[in-house]
Amino acid sequence: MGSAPSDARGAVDDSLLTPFKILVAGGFGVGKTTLVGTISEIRPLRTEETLTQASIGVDDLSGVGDKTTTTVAMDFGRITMARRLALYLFGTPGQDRFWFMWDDLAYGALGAVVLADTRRLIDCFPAVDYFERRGLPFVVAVNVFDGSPYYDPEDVRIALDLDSHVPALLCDARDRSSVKQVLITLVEHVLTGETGEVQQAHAELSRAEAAAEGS
Amino acid sequence: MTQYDRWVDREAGRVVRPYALTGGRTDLAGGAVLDLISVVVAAGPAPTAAGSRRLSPEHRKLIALCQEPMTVADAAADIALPLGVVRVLLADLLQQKLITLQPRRAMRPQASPDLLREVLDGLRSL
Repeated sequence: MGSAPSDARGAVDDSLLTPFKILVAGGFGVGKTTLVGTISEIRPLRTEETLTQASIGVDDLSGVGDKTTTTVAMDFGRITMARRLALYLFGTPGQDRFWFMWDDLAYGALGAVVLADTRRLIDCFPAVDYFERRGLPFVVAVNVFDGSPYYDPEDVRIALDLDSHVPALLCDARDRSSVKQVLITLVEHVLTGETGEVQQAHAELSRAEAAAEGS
Repeated sequence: MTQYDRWVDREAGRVVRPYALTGGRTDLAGGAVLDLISVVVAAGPAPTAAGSRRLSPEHRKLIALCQEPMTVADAAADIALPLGVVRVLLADLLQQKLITLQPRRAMRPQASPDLLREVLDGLRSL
């Protein structure tokens, strides 16, 4: 397929690997790694980041204290599709002190899944807040744990004060078809958002053109 | 088990500190931008130890890994080194033109509806 590089419409050149990144965020122990492992074609891989980019060498050189050797583990999984499209799922580090990594993770991401536990709903506020501020499309998936009270996804939406267009759904992070549905919902959400924006831009453009003609 | 193995286990951490692998450097050579899913590919076969004095064993391992296009995250997981270190090493190889960075098709994936539809189809057929 000899598509020109300038072909911004997204026709895929089969010789190139085309990776996409989806973040899986949520509180500590909410099932992020489970979700990634359920759908990934590979056992979740682990990569590490040292405490800060700048601390490599600087902090480690001093060789004192536990903090200098702290690493953040990031689990990720992969789904390879036809024509060398690949979806990468990155579990974000759960603890607050690793916030500095989020910008790096979110850079160029397709969207995010915020995994919520109804018993500790507050744990996912920071993630919701972060993606809203950053303008990264996300869905909220309520991981249904055994023994956790049932909530309607609508109630969760209200509790989290989500915009009406943000999808909220129940899921079971251990169940493949359930996780698949979460990802489909996210990509659909991204698509609608984008086409919505495009339509809006077009509408504005035609209004501007009409105004220019009228003047 | 040699007498050393008793002390050099997982708990002990790495024998060689990560900073040593980059010579203490944290900046990426040539100001390269390497995202987690940036795709790198080797420009040629991995050079032998004798033919590449300037390259560390980790550099050579990365070239061997990147014979097929590979993301930075995959490379870091395969070579089992921290991401920050792998980025520095990959940037060295980029600067020496031993690997190349594949142009990104979807820097802002939200703006590529055709690609997104392909992803959606891919997910549905899982």
